[in-house]
This record gives sequence, structure tokens and C-alpha cells, in this order.
Amino acid sequence: MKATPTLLKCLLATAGLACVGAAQADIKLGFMGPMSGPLAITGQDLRRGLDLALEHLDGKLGGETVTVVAANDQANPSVATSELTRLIEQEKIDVLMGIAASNVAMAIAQPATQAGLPVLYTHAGPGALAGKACAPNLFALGHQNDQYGEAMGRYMKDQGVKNLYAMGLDYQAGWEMVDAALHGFGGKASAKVYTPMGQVDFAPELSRVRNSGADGLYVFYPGGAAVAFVRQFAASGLKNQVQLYSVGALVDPTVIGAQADAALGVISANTWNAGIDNPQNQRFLKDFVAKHDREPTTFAAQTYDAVMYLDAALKKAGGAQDRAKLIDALRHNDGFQSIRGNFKLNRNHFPIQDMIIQQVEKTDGGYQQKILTKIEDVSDRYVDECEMKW
Amino acid sequence: MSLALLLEQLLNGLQFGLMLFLLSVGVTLIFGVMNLVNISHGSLFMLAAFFTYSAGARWGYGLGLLIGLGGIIIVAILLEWLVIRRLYQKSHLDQVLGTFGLMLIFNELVRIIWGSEPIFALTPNWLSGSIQLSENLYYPTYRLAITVVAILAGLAIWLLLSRTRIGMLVRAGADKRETVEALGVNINFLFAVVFVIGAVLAGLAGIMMGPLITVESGIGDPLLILALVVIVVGGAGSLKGCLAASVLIGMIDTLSRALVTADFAGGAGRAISSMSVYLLMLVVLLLRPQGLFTR
Repeated sequence: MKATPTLLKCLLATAGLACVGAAQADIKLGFMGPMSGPLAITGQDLRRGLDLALEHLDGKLGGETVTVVAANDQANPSVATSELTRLIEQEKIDVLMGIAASNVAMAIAQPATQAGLPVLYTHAGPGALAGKACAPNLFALGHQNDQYGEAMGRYMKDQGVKNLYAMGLDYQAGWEMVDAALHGFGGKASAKVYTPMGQVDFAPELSRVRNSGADGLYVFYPGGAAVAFVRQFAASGLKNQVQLYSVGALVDPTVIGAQADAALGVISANTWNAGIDNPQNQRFLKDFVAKHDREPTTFAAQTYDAVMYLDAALKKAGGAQDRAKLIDALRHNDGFQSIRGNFKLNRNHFPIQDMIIQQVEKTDGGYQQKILTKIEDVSDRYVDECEMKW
Repeated sequence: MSLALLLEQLLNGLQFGLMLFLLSVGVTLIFGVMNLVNISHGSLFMLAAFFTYSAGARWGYGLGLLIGLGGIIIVAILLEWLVIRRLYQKSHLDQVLGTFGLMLIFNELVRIIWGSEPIFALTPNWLSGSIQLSENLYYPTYRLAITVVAILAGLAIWLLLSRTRIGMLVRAGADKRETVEALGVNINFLFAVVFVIGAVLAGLAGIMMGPLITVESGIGDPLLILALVVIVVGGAGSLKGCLAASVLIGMIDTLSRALVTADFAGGAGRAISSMSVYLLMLVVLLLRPQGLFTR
């Protein structure tokens, strides 16, 4: 909108004169993600989702030209808070978007809230921010972490799993993913085993699973550990004995190439799936695959979706200048069409969404996640603790 | 625990221990003979896996294996010639800093060349099933293959050190370096040979472990920590000590994990299980700081 007069001024300016104001965009979007360190792959896909969405929007948000200011949080809370200060005070961003790590999400929530900056978490969704610490300018559009486990727990119960064996990586997310699944399952696990970070050999644990007589094995392993676990599970011959259940991260597109046939048959819960049949999702999928030569991850899909969410809200609010108006538009964002299909915003600014139960199967070109069923309208357990009303 | 399960867990422990042996024998040889602490040993483990499986994906497993081992020999020769040679006379702290830097460089190089996403490590078809050991005990063929390769490699290194001229010189160099030099032996060449042997063993471990674990940047590093524990427990420079300590640590690590669940002893069991090998190291350092198996 305001681009035209600036452009005109520039065109009229004589050669040699600096073109003041031309580089200044109308919307300054801060993007923060773990671009290096242990979550570098996640950060990379967050960025890919962002870039593709902006490409589809012709570099505009809510009709106004956008400049992206990127920051690398290294999945480290103290780095993230100092980067946030830079983005707010030096770069003067209008909106902050991104964040994959829950610890970073927790660390920057308060300073961002105090500054009144609208923040859109695209992947992180810690429970505390969905409950007591919920805030008017904070939106977690990807998920609440527990939604995956909760949905898978309910599915396993529906499948009549009797003797459930649970395993996970020994850290915060591992415990939460296991607890959420047991909550959804509505029963106890016959055994719960956590393995330390850096452990590469799962032979003793798998031998125990074999001897436990379990009819369901639920695990949480992301990244490199997912490759090792799935391959060793397949090689142990346990596949014929017990069904492996997990969340999307276990067999996502960043690891499935390294797992190959070992991943076949794994059932997982996810917020997004390539097979969701709506035009916006098929456009996203097609262009992502063309650009990066593999399927998008949930990280990329959620970030893409969040950019579209912001675009719709900015259109409704008529820009980012009036923050109260923008936050109201982010709450009542009726113009938004999610690539995930069903998407509603809960009172705590976390999504209520359909969770997809998917199974790995082989296709001509590689592997795909076949949709088995959907667990509809999954919300989170923390919303009752959130005192925000709107 | 039933007898079959106990047997299976013992087998798991033995296999893990022998894999540790393959990785740590290079570190202990290099430390014993050249008095060099090499933190970048895990990088050789990683590089061999990357060479083998990226070449293997294109030209098949056999050629991949050759390229992996050949590649690691070339890398080891260059590394020794360009960097490691300059560290022999330096203090242990300088060696740790230098080789730690190498480790970071290799990890980042791998990320630049192959990307951050793990690559696929194929296994030959005839090794991908499982073998029936008893009525209700099936064991993955590939894990048995690792055990066999580790035993063969251990035998080969023992024969090399105890039955050949170069082995004699290596042992002599470890004990009385000046004397060996005074006798007109090219000690620089000898050291290069030891370094390359250590690298090949680490590479072999990386190639064998690749399909079990994840072939990605930094895979050698968590294992290197265990290798250092092996060296402390077994005693630096001792081949026998390295073997015994590897198997001991493999067994302790495996069996402690075989017993413990998340709520065992109110969660304390889990902590003790992951500490068990370090507790062993602590006891050895207190009672026999030169290692269990050195004279």
C-alpha cells in the first residue's frame, strides 16, 4: 500500500542521491529458530516453511511488503533471550514467529509479553504456556505438545491394546510424550523405560520388550535416536510380535530415508499429513517437494500454516500498527484456511485440531504416511488453568 | 529373568563390548605407543561410515566397504602428516585441545558435505535376517556378524603386534622410544603406521555399527566417551587390558539396563544404571590408577 509512494520517490530521485526509506518494509517479521546445534534440521525446515509461504504470498503479508529478520536461538534459552532483545530494540520487529524448542519458548514468553509483541510459536507448545502462563499476545499455532501422545493413547485404547510397553528418551519431552500417551490410553503401562541421551544400542531394551509379552509398544525417539531405534526394532524381528506406536517425529521425512524399509508399518500420530485433501495443502506439498526433493516435515507444514494465519489476521486488522486490533484479528481469524483442514483456536491460544493417525507404507517413489483415521477435535489438558477470557 | 533372556542379554553385552573394543583399541595403541591423546578418533569412526554408505548406496555394499576402508587410510595418512605429527612432543592438554578442534571440524565438514539429515546405511541381504539360537531365542544375524568381525580384527591386531617385525618395533617404541631411535629405526614412520592401524580399526567399527546406529554428523562422539572409560579401566597401551575392559564395560552397561525400569527404586535405579560404568571407572581410578590389566 505504502510501497507505491516510496517507489515513486525513488524513481524521481536523481542518480547519486541516496534513496532514503526505500529499503524499509511495511511489515517487519522476526523469525527465530534453532538454525544450528542439535535441532538444526528442525530450524532448517521451519525456515523452509516460512520461505515457501512468503513465496506463495508474493512476499507480502496482509497485502504489505514484508522483510524477514532472522535470528538463531541455537535451541538455547539464554541465546534466545538476547536475540529477542536485539529483534525488539534494534530491529523493531512488528511480529515474532518461529521457535521449535520448548525451553526457548518458555524463556522468551515473558520478555515478549512484557514488550507487548505479538508472538506466533509455529512448533513449540509447552504445557505451562497453555495453562497458567497463557498470555494475550502469545499464540501457539502448531500444537500443544501433549496432543500427539493424547491422540495416540486414545487410538491404542480403541485398538484394544491390553499390555502396553512404553519407552522414551530420558528428558523432559520424552517423559511428557509418554505421560500424555498414558493419559489418553486411560491405563497404566506394564513397563516404562527411559534411555539416556547418546545411547546408541537398544539391544538390551528390545530383548526385554520381546520377553514382556506386550501387544503394544509406544515410544518417543526424535532425530538420530529414531533411526537407530526403528532399525534395531526391525532387525530384532519384533515387528511380527508387537505393533510399534509413536508420534510423527519417529518416522518423519528427515529420518525415513535412513530408516527405509525398517519404518514400514509404524503407526504414529501427527498434526499434519501429506494426504490431507484440500487445495491449499496440495499446493504446499507440490511446491515443497519440487523445491527440496522430499516431503515436508510437520515443522515446515506448521510454519507455513502459521504464516498464512498471520496473513489472514493482518488483512483483517489492516496491518500491524494497531496491536490490539491485530491480536483481536488473530483471535477471531475467520479468513484463515488451514492446510491441516479442521483448525480452531482454543481460549488459551492453542489449537483444537484433528489429530491424524498414520501408518508408513511403501510407494513407487519411496515411503508415505497413509491416513488410518482421525481423532477429532483434540484440545489440551491445561486450558482450564488459563484465566484469559475473550 | 528367564534363562533364555539372560543368555540373550549376555550376548548383547558381549557384542556391545567387542564393538567398544574395536573403537578403543586404536585410542589405547596410539596413547600407549605415541603418548598421544586423540579425541578425534570418533571422527574416523564417523567418516568411514559416511564413505562406505554414501558409496555403497551408489555402487553396492562391497565397493562401498573398499572405498570406506581405503578412504579412511588416506584420511589417516594425511591427518597424521599434517596435524598429529606436530602434537607428539606437546603436552596432553595441547593434544586434547588440538584433537578436540579436529573433531569439531570433521563434524561440521560432514554436515556441509552430506547435510544434517542422517543417511541410509544398507546391509547385505544375507546379513539382514535373524538366526535361531535355541527354541525361543532369535538373534539378529547382523549383530552376530559384528561379533565375528570384532574377534577377527582383535586376533589380527594381536598377531601383528606379537608375531611381526613391525609389531616388535611398535612394542619396543612404546617401552624405550630413545633406544629404538638410536638403533636407526625411523620412529616417525613407525608412529604413522600405528596411527593408520588405529584409524582403520575405528573405521571398521564405524562401518560395522553404521546400520545399527544412525549415520549422521557426530555419531562417534558419545562412543568415544565410553572408549576413554575402557582405556582408564583397562590401562593405557595394553591390548589385553583393552579387550577385557571393553567386554567388562559392555556387560555392565547392558546388564544394568536389562534390569531397570523407569520407576525402579523410585527412579534412582535408572540413574545408577546410566552411571554404572563411570562408577566402575571411579573405583579403578581410586584403587588401581594404572588400570586393571597393566603390570
